[in-house]
Amino acid sequence: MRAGTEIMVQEQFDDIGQQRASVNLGMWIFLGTELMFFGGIFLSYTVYRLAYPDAFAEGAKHLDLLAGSINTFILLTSSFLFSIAISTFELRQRGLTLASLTLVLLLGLAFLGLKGFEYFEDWRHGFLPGANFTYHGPNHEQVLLFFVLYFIATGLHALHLLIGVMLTLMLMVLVIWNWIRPKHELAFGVFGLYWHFVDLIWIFIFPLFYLLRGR
Amino acid sequence: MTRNRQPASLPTYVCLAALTAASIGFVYLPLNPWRIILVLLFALVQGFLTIVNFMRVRLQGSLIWIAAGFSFFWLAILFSLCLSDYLTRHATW
Repeated sequence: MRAGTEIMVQEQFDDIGQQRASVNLGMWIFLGTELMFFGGIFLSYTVYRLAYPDAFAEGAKHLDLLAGSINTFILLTSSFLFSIAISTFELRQRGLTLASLTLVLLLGLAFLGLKGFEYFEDWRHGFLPGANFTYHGPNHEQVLLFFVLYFIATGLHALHLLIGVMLTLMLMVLVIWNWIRPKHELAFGVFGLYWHFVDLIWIFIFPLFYLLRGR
Repeated sequence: MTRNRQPASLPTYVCLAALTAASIGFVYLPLNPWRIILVLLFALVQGFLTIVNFMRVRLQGSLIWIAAGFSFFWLAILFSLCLSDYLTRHATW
């Protein structure tokens, strides 16, 4: 590493601008692979939704719209707060950064808690795919397919959010213990991109699974 | 990441929340068959706002625009090729 600039430049880069652009581009390429990953799930949903529209509309009616709506607002708010945290970090406002990150962390945990409650209720009502799946209405197999896709999509999203929560916790520790170490600045923006991406995925999961209750 | 250039976070957040509230409201309105179109259109607008403002693509150079754009281009290829198969399997021409 070479010192002398505000952010320490890794030796493979000519200057901080090149390093920043490379880090940012790398993260965007990673997010592109993540988009393809979730894209496969969305594609599966689209194919089966077109094939079994009544069954999917019926399955959606059994999801907790209130919990899903609250979780959507929770994630949107957390995304807003993360953008605030990045801005305040760049302006070296430690207190506001920590406060924003704490709220982001709490909102992330609230999302996971509410999702866990939803899963528990789904299990209690017999909507968990498997031997105990107990939906007795018409289109049994197709409704089962809806719930399989629902648990895969929301489960993988929750896993990504859990990773985001852990990264946020790590950022908080960095801010508290190694405050104003310039080398963390790039990481801050990259983690922010990840958090916003998790929010972006939920923006599509929510309407597809919760809101499309009719043809 | 471009520093010290504030993206429009608060207006973006307000727009996202309003679009979400409107989408939820569509569930209770007799909008069929337009509900699907409206809900998905609103989701697309929300996604665009998130990418452009929260993810700061608006403040980035052309390379990031290309990288972000190609991510969706690959996704479009995935969807178009796959759906062109599924949607035409029972065609009679």
